[in-house]
Amino acid sequence: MHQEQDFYSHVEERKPSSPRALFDFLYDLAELPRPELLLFENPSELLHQLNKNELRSVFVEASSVSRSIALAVIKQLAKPQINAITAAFDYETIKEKRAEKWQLPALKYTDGILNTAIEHTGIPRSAISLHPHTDDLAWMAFITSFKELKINEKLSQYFNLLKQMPLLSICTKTAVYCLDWPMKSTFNQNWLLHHESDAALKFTNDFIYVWKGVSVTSKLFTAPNKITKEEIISEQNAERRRCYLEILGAKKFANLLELDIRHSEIDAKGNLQVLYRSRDKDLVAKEFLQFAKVVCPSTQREYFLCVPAYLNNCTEAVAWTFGKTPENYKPDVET
Amino acid sequence: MKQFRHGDILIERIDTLPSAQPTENNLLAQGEGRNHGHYIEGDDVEIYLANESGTESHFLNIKTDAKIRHLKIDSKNWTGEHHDISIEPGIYRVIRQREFDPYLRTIRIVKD
Repeated sequence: MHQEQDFYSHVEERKPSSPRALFDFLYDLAELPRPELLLFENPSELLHQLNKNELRSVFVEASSVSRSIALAVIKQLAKPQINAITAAFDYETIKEKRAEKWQLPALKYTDGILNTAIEHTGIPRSAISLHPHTDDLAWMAFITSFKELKINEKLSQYFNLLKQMPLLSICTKTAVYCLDWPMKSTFNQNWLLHHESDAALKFTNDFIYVWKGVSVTSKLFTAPNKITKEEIISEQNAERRRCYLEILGAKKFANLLELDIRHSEIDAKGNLQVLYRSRDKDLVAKEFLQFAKVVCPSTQREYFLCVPAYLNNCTEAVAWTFGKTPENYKPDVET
Repeated sequence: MKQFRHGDILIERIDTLPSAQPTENNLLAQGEGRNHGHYIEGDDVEIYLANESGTESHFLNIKTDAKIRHLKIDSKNWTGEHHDISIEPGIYRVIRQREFDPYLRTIRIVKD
C-alpha cells in the first residue's frame, strides 16, 4: 500500500462558500437589482438547473450582465488602486510583483480547477462572470502585496467578500447560478491537477478525474481492465490518449491493442521512438493497425499516433505525421 | 527549405504564397484541454488562411523577425512548454501534425 504522499504533492480542502453578500455588493456596484442566488454543490446539479431554462438566452444575458459588472469593478475598484500603484512604484517593481504573485493562483485556480470544471460542463466561457472570478484571487494577491500602500475601502471590502466566492458564477439580471468549489482538490508538484488513484476534483456527489492537468474518463481509475482498444483509438485528443498510455503503462497499452514492436530507433534528441504494429489484421479496419510512439522534444511526453500500415520505420512514420517523407522532413529547430 | 518544429506544428519555408484569405488572428493552432495554443508574434507579419483538401492551413508572410510562441489562451502567458522559436523573414506554411484513422480511413489533425 502506497502512502498517499507518494501520489501527489498538494491537497486543498474547502468548506462550502456563502456568496450572498458578495453578489449583493457586485450588483449594487453595477446598479443592478439584487439577484436570486442559486448555489450548486456540483457540476451535474448546475447543468441540470441550467437545462431547465432556455440555455442559450441565459448565456447571452449572462455575457451582457458580466460586462456591466466588470465595467463597474474596473472603474470603481481596480482603476483607482492601479493608478495609486503605478504612481508609487517603478515599472520593474510592478513587473516583478506581478510575476511573483499572479502566477500561482492563476495556475491553481484558473488554469486548474476553473478550466477543468468549464471543460467538464461545456458552459461557454463568455457566460462565466468576470467578477467574481478565480483570476480575482491572482489580482488580489498582486494588489495586497504592495503592503506600503493603503487599499481603498471599497476594494478592501470586495477582497474580504471574495473569501466567500464560488468557483464560477453565471450572472443574469434576476439570478446568479453558482458552482461551488470542490471539497477537495489534488495537485502534483507542478500545481497541475492530478491524482494517481482517485478523482483530483471531488465535488459533493460528483468527481472529476484529472491526470497531469488533463481530465480523463473515470473508467481509467475505476475499471481500467474494462478499457477497450476501440475506446483508445476513438479518443482523438492526443493528450488524453497519452494519459491512457501513462495510466495503463506502455506494456499494458500495447498488450491491449495487441501490438508488437516493428521498428525502434533513437531520434535526433536522443529519445527512443518505436513503431508498433498489431499482431493481426484488425477485424473492423481489415488491415494492420500501426502506431508511432514519439516523444515531444520539449515536454518529454510520449504520444501514440496512429499511422498507415504501409510505413516501415519510425523516421517514415514521424515524417508522415507532418505530411512529409524522410527526405523532406528535416527540422532545423525542434522544441 | 528551413523547417521549425514547435510541438505538434511544423513551420516550413516556401517560395510563394498561395491564394489565401488574410486573417488578424495570430493563433495558429489551439490545443484542447489545457487552454493553450501556438501563436505567431512579430511587428510585421501577415497571416493567411487557405482551405487545403478540406483542412484550414495557415500561411505566414513574415517581413521582420518574428517568434512562434506557446501561450495560454486566457492570459497569453508562456505555458512553460515549447520554447520560443525565432523565425526570420520569408514566406512559410504551417503544417499541423496528423494521424491516421484506420476505421474511417481518413487523416485527422492531432489535438493536444
